[in-house]
Amino acid sequence: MTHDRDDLHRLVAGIAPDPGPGVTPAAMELLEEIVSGPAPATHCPRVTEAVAGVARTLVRSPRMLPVIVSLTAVLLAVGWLVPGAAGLGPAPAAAALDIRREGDHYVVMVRDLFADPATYQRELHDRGLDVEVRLVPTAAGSAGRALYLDGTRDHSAITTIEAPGECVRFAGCPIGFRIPVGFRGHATVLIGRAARPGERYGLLEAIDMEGQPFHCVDYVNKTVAEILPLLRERGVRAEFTSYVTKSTRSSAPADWYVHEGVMVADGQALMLVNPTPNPQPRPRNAFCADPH
Amino acid sequence: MARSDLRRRFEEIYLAHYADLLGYVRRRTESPEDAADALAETFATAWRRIADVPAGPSARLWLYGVARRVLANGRRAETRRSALVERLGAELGQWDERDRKPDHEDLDAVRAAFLRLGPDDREVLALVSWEGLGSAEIAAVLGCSRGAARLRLHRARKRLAKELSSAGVDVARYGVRMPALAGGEA
Repeated sequence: MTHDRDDLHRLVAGIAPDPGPGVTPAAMELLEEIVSGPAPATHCPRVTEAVAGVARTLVRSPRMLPVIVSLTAVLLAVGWLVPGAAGLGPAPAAAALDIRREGDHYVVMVRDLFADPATYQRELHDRGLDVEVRLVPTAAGSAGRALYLDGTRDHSAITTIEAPGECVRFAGCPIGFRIPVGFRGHATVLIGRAARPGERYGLLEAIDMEGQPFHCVDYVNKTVAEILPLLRERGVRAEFTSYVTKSTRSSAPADWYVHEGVMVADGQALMLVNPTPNPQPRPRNAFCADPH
Repeated sequence: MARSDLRRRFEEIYLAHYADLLGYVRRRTESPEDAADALAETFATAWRRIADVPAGPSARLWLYGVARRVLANGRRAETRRSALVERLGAELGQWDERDRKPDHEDLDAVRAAFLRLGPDDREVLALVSWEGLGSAEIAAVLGCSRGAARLRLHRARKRLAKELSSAGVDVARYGVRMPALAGGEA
């Protein structure tokens, strides 16, 4: 009964269950969900709780998930907090926010996107609203968009005002928000600002989302060779990751298939590629109302 | 380290080792839902403890160790799956259906012999044959000395050989037919 140990191991290897599909789109979303969870670094626990609470509430809606994941990721990706004492100062000469009272709500629109965040906060504090305002680096197309966390379980205290026109983004296209005059909770409002050159986005957006280089471009399950010219034409530099190479690289085999892509900074994309096509591609019209 | 640096580091670890961890948990769970749960919990732990994750290839071993404890603890009753983890489980389920190959009849006896072993024996053998680890790496995953890992492996091999022998499986015959899948030195 003397078996070569390598033979034994080969036998056991032969009954290894299939390892699975590697990094899939849901895996990329899981990454976002995890980094939007309680952060490892010490930071304001109130924010963590708000994020966790809102995430818990909103992940119940599968359709909203990609947005919420991104939204919460944004919150924690931003590396600074608005100074809390700003509310004591005098009102600015030129208001950064347009705050009007309509019945029992304040309607808040962003007037000056490049104002100091402390200015927004002060203007809100002046009306008795404890609202923290942060700017988040985003793609230029998302600049001025507002996202918010209002601390309520059902995300009901604050509502958004949508930009006119059709909106195909998962998150909706808010440009302002309505806050109940009697709102006494703590809310966090995130406002997208155009990222500086080379600055990493606080919110990773799908490469085919509205305003992004591959919007309405049929790229999923095309080969690397096929999409390289499309990227070049649009001035996008790409890095590639796959579950085979298991790292981010500046190139990928020409005959591999593109599964997914996200924009990580202006003109910079991260593409998920693999030797086989994506068996579960996102519907082509997910972000494109009129695919061609 | 700034939070953005921590995030970047976690992203690198996640993308580098996701496929391996997925394989690890899938091979040790009964359902795709359980695999998705364990995977999510393992990486969530890694994010919370990012400062403890060793650099380089050792990160994979550290993650296996966490996944092992997650699986050993079972799913906590109070943790509700997020919609995303549900979806990940469904995605894995679809992959199973898509990729199901007819069972290799010859290997049924091997599989049965393997399943008759205790969980500790199965784990060390699997770490060698499925994850391609050597004894030093197994020691890192199990949190024991290298000598102890060698001993456990030696005993597990012996017990498997005995099971195979009593089932009438001719190991040498399989040995030459099976492709060399195992990578690590044991």
